Amino acid sequence: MRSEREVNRAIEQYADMVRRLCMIHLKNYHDTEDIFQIVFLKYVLSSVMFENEEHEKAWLIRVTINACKDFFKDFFRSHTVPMEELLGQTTEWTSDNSEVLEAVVSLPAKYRDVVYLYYYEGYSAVEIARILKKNQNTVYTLLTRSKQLLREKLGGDGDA
Amino acid sequence: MRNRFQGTFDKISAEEELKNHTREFLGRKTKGYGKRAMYLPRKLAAAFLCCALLLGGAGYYACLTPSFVISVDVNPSIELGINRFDKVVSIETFNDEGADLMSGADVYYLDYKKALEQILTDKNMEQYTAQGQMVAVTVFGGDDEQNREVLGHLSACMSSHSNVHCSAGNSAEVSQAHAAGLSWGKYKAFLELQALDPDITVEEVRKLTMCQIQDRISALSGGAGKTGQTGCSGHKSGGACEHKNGHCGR
Repeated sequence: MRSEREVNRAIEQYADMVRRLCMIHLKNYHDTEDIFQIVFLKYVLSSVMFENEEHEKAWLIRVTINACKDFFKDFFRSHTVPMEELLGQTTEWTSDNSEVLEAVVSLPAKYRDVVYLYYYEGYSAVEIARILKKNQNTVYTLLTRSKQLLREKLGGDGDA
Repeated sequence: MRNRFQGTFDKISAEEELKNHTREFLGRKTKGYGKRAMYLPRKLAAAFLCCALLLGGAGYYACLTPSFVISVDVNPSIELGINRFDKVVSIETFNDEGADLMSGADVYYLDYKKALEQILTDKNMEQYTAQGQMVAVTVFGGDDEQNREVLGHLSACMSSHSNVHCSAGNSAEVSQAHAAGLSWGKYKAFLELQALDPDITVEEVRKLTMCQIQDRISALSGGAGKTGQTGCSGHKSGGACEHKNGHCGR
């Protein structure tokens, strides 16, 4: 089990990232809080020795995404994220911000993580494949398809 | 696109309330992170307990399980269980005389040589040995090498006693002896007598002393003259049996 100090450091360092990942998957604050707590509880209890910060960050990304997936394994939970609820979670949204967020959450669930990791966290397709433990070609395909979908929704070239 | 993502997701951050609730939740789940301090000692304690139990079990087995048995038969019939450290760890008596003898002798955890010495010089035993009755000391239960080694020790330390006959037995026959309710030394004498007198029964032999059995064997095997001379069957004359000198063999 990790120390309180270690855990507090991780919360300060990765809370926003975990929150963002929860945001693109979960429909309300209550669910987000549940997943947020589960992720950090796993962190507390994990005996994984992280080689560096990148390793630690990648571990938390994977755990958060898996926790969200597990959350939706419940048949009665909806995958749909109502925008009103979603936007109500934070403040000061511009029309562009809400447009981007709406475009992301409207993507099928399997594209959301890839898109977030690629566009926001700046990971390459190879790194995403390693983090998500997916085949590189699968990630390339997911990225290509999601760019296409985003282009349809947001316009532009859909790339950097 | 990247800039639009940056602009959008930069606005999303974990609320302080969310972080605080999570800290409280983790504090509750980990019982104030005190688990770690308890966890290792508990594991160590469990490991220590396992080792202690294991060692205790092994120690118990080594100390209290007989690795061989020494049967002593005069009229008292007793068997001493000896552990691998040559200490007496069990005593079994096969008749009232044996029980009387051992009630007055404290030989538990004594070296078997000292224990035998103490038994043979016990005043309850002297009433038999003083009459010159034969003492049959039999070693069994160990492996052949161990039996041989113990027999060697016994022959050395019993040499000062007259009428002591040492031998080694085998476990299969010992089981038969115990099934018949006799100690091994007496059962062996019974078999010898039975070969000469097929009508003899275990019940009859149980009531006889070793010396009386030997007298009968001698009588039946042609040494009858000696029986009357020794007066062994009378128990009172102090006459000697055939085994006047302590000797050991297989």
